[in-house]
Amino acid sequence: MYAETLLDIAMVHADKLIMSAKEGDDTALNKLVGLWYNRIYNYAFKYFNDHDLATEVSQRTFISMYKNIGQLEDTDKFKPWLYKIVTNFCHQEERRQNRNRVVSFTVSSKNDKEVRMVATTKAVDHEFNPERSFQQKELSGLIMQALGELINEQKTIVIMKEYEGLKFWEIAEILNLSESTVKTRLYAGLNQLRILFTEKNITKETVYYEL
Amino acid sequence: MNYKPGKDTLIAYLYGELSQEEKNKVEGYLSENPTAQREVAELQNTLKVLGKLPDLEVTPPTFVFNRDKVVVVEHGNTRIPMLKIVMGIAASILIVMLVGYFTHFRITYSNQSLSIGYGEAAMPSNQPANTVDIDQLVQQAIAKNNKDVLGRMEDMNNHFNAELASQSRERASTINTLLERTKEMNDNVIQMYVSQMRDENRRVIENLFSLSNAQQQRVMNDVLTDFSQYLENQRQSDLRLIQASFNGLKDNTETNLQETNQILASIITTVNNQNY
Repeated sequence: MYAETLLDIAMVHADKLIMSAKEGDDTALNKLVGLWYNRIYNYAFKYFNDHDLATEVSQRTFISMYKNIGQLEDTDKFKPWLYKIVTNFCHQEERRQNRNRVVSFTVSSKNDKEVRMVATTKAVDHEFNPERSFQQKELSGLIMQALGELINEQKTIVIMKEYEGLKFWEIAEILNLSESTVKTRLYAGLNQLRILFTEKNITKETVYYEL
Repeated sequence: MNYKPGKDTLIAYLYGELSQEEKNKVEGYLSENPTAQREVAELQNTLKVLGKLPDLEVTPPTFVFNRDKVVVVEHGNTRIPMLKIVMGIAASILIVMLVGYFTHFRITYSNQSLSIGYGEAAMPSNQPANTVDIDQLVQQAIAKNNKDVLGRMEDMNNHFNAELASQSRERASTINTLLERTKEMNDNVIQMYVSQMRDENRRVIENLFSLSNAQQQRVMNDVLTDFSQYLENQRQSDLRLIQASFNGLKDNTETNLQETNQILASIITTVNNQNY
């Protein structure tokens, strides 16, 4: 969930930074990158379940931010604006991956049922309990797998709402949809996830029994 | 009750983004429809499970923003698959080999020479030259060269000597003029320095006098004030002393008076008793 940490508060009150960045202040731009890189990376990571792709998309997002921030009219809309850029790059990259799958040397195929999350997750909690840590990684892997099985439009909305804490109107603006459509698609996505979780035998009880 | 919330309303309810009035309506509906209630509860559980996925911590790369381009400096957390590296190297080697094959690239090494080139190797001609002619030619060339070199060295030597002599003369005269100028300047500087010193000294002494005057005045003031205060204190304590002495005197007088009264009273009583 979207926790109210110091970083989040700094993100919300970054108006001055955005103003300076618009005027071409490199330091302000780098501070904005520092504030938002983690969120954008995690968004892209949940979208692709792949570190390299997530890094690539995040970097392209911030390069695009640098080039286009002058055109951002309303500093209050920085957040949806940034997510719009990363979402566009995600979709673009997804299409490219689909085209190039045959020649790709990497193993980032969607059919790959390996739980790649296990290798890459660095769980913040449970650091001193290997068993718990392992279970957490396994669960994370299963959740990532389930997210990967959603259709793109549902996956995007679920990640935006559930993990990035965007408001419905913000998501609607990013995706050029009506708020009502966003909510309906989120409902459909959650319902699909519920079915997938049941198939994978992840229920509230098993989760709380294990963790 | 005909109210039935749509999926969008239910989602807003799940995320707690409904107004109180709408929330009450939805809750009323759910309490009457166990199926819908179960569905919402299951979605809530799904949300809880989703919430168990933590964020990954990554170090943001440093972006060097420039007017023309952006350079991204990563902090070593990239993972390039080993297979990709190995295949890359293999492909490069294959390309080099193919290019070599098609351009007839060859390296030939014989007992005296190493030749690298494209196409057929050209064989060097092995005709022996006339050694006597060559010797003569070489000796003539060496003799001529030696003569040239000697002549040129002598010219240069002369030239250098002349140059050195003229330069040393120039330098001596420059040094002399410089020395004279320095001496003049030194005299001027010393005079200026002395007059400046005198002025400064005068100023310092004036300042010192005025300062010490002021200080003395202050000290005298202080002394006078202290002394008058001391006198005042002394007067006060004397007055207090006198007051105390007066008080003592008054007390004594009163005691005396009382004693006298008592004695008188006792005399009167004894006189009265004797009269009876």
